[in-house]
Amino acid sequence: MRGSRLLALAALFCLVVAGLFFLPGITLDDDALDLLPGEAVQGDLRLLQRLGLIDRVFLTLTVKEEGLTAAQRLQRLQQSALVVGEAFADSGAFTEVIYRLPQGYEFGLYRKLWPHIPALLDKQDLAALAQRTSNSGLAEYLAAAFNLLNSPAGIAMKRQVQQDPLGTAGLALAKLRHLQAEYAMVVQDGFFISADRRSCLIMAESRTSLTDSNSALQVEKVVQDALALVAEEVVGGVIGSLPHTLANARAIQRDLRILLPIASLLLLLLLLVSLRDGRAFVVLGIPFLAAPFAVGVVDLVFGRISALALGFGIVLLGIAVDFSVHIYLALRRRQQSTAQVMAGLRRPLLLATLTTSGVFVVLFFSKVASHQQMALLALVGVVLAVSMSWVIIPLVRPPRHPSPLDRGWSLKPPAGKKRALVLLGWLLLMVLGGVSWPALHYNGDLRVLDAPDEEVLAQEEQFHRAWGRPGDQAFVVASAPSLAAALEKNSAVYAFLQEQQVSRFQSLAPLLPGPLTQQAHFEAWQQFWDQRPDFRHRFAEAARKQGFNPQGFQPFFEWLDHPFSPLTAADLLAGPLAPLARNMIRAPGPQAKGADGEFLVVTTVTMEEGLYDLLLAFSEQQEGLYLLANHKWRQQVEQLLRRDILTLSLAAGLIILLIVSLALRRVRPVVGALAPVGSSLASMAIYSLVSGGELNMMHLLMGIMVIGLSVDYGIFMVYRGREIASLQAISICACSSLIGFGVLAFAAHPALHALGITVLVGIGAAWPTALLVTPILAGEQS
Amino acid sequence: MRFQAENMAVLVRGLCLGLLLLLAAQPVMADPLADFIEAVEEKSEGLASFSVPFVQERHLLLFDQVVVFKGELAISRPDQLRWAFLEPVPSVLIFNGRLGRRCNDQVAPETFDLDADPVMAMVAQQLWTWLDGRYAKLATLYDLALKASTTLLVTPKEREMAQFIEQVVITFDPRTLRPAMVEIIEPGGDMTRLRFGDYQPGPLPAHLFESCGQP
Repeated sequence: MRGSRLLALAALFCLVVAGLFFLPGITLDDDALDLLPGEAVQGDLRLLQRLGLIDRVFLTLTVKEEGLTAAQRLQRLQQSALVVGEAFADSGAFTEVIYRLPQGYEFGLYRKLWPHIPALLDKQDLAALAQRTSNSGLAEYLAAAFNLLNSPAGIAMKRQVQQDPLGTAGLALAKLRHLQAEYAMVVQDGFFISADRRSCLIMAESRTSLTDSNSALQVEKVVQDALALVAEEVVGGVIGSLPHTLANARAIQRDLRILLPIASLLLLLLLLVSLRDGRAFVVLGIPFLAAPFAVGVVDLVFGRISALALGFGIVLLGIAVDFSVHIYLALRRRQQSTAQVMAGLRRPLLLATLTTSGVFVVLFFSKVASHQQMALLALVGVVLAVSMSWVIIPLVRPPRHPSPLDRGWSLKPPAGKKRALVLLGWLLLMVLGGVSWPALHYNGDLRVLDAPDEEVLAQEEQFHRAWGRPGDQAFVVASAPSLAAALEKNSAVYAFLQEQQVSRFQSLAPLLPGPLTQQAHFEAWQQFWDQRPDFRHRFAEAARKQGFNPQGFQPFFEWLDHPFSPLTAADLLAGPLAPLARNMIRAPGPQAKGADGEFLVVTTVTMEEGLYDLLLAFSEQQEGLYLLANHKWRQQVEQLLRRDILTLSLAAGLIILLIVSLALRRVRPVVGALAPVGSSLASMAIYSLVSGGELNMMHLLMGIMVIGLSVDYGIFMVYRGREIASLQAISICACSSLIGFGVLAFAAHPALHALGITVLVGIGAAWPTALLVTPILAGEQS
Repeated sequence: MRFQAENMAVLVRGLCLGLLLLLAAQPVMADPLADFIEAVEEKSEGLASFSVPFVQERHLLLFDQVVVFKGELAISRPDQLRWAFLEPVPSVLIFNGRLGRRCNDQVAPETFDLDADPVMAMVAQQLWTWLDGRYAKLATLYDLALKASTTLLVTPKEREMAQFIEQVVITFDPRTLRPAMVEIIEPGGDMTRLRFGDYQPGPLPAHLFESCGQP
């Protein structure tokens, strides 16, 4: 016996050492994707991340009211935007900083586009050109050209008139309006200035994830350092993921700074008063020795571990502390040999471990990656922790200190009127819980766990005041192995939007159609002129009538004879619009594979009534087109999470019922063992209904822990409910959970509050149920 | 040999002394260009607002003959300018701060924002450059030279501007020192000549810079 225990101890020691050895090498991941269910939703978010839409910083510089003239305000804004933009670009924290278009970009763009215009004009443009090439159109345009040349603008416009007397470039340049986002701004001297001329916009894409608080802190430092350089009349405000991540991290830190010392103090007092033995603290710490190995297993299986899974997995591992407390108190209190005590504990401990593990096994089948990871961590951890407690605690051998109550004392279930009252109260709780449950709504929107502070909200309001509210937007992403193919798909999206007469969208397609579309445009262009063989003659006549020398328009006719010259993405990316174009085109990284190895081109569409369904149907018909919309995304996440919860809850309930039924075999003990679970679920349902009727992800995760703890209370009560050691163990465990987690119910952050309130309400109901109701329902257990 | 060396040393010393004297005398010597510009600016500063008739001749290879337009210019400093053609094709161009308006009898009046219309922003900048009367500030972008006693030759330094304008010749009225004629010479031989008539100083009605009226 001693030999096998030593062998087990050596094996456990090896596991702990192995865990500690591999711990420094684990890959900790703070990826928001791990919070989301399903491949489709994760794929959507991955696309958003690749498009840089999640890690984008929007900085608005606003000039304060300081009695400055309009020109002075503008000068301060531009000067500030310049220093901030340069500081951002030099910092290395951003992959892309957009703060100014190159000086003279308008003329540069005209020169860049001019040779390619025949490949860019579509059917509608040719229809407009057809009117201009009619006799009346020629007279009108040449008269306008004559007046323009004689106006003060004539000197600047002379070459353009000679090259393009019919304003063909205007048709192409009109497509620029689709490059501008739905924000109310003007481009002034290349800077993005608000309509009221008081604000200037800078956009930057972070190199690191802004949903990670450490990265966010580093980027915030860069922003603050840059803002220290702006003119004294100018202030800056940031919106995007950055302020939200920081506000949440700070709210959690604030809560924990106040609540953790209170909880620690209360826990210390509880253990000092109830156990009165310093060694108890060491014993309670044993289960956590299992954590390094469990973390290592998760890392081995998943190749990484999410920060959320790590945190919550270790919290769930805390369930194993209850087992240690039971073993410790049984050894300390009972007037039996160690072997006898351990033999008596074997069945309840095994059953409790099985039910707890069963819940985690079910959670492992969740569609949410972080849930799977935390389930595996908790499962491996709990099994290992229970094994450690079973082997190590008897070796520590706490001094026998039987309570006077232990000597022949046994707790009898309430009898008579008390019994009836207890049962009636419990039944009422179950009925109310049963009635409340269907009325609850699961809110899968992760924003309910977001806690932006007043400053963040004020900055967002200020941003919308300066730049307007573009409304709900959707992103149609064209994805393909080559940029040409992605641009072609993007052109198909543009054609669809035109067909649906949608006007509010941001797209590269009008200015940079796919190569095949450009070829088709050029063929239509040639056909257009072939159908007008007398055009040159008519033009010369009209020009003469207007007072022109037709020879002066030679550059125009040379241009008409120019061969096909498609505009390439490289042309555009080398031109003055490169900063805007780079925002809409994404090339894969050099090592990227699979979907991440494709080129992306995005079209941003402002939603109108009924448009979402049309776009969804269109994108589903076309291979390589993805519709990303808040509307769709929220709906999908919510549906998937709800389905996940329902399935998992049902499966967890069935597994617990099955294990408990198989172990206890009779109805009454089974009902008695499950009574605390019923109470905790009913209480959580009633509380949630009273407090708004909404459940979120934190309720779910902590609900699993509460179920795991509650069923253990029931099992121990069924097996050893008459022993004061069990009652004390259950009460200490319940109180420690209530103190440790319940105190978080007073947190201001919604996630911590949900976490705390779930434990407070669930354990708060399960504990008295186990002590009072379980013995009545279970009856006498042999 | 010794004699020659001594003579040479005397000569060099003499030359150095002469140069030093010349350099020392420089600040007190008159610069006709600076003096002229100073005089023109002085006159101009006393003229906060004025109107003046003008005749514009466009000598373009693109036209089969010289095209003559007649019109009236009105300026109210610091930022209001009205350029009106009266014949043969009436039209009006107004700059009022950062906003502008253009009208002719063929299309509906059109307002524009200099911040959003780079061509009109450039036109406004050019008109103010030639007509504002502050020629000293031109020296950063243009080479200035004085021809005869009242003609200023302005040549762009930057290649961007030189693509459009080879030289601008501004001839001032010797008496009033106000521009009497501006010739804008373009690369390739095209030329625009503006002849200004009698300047009418005095406050101008605000509506001139707010609406086109009858173009």
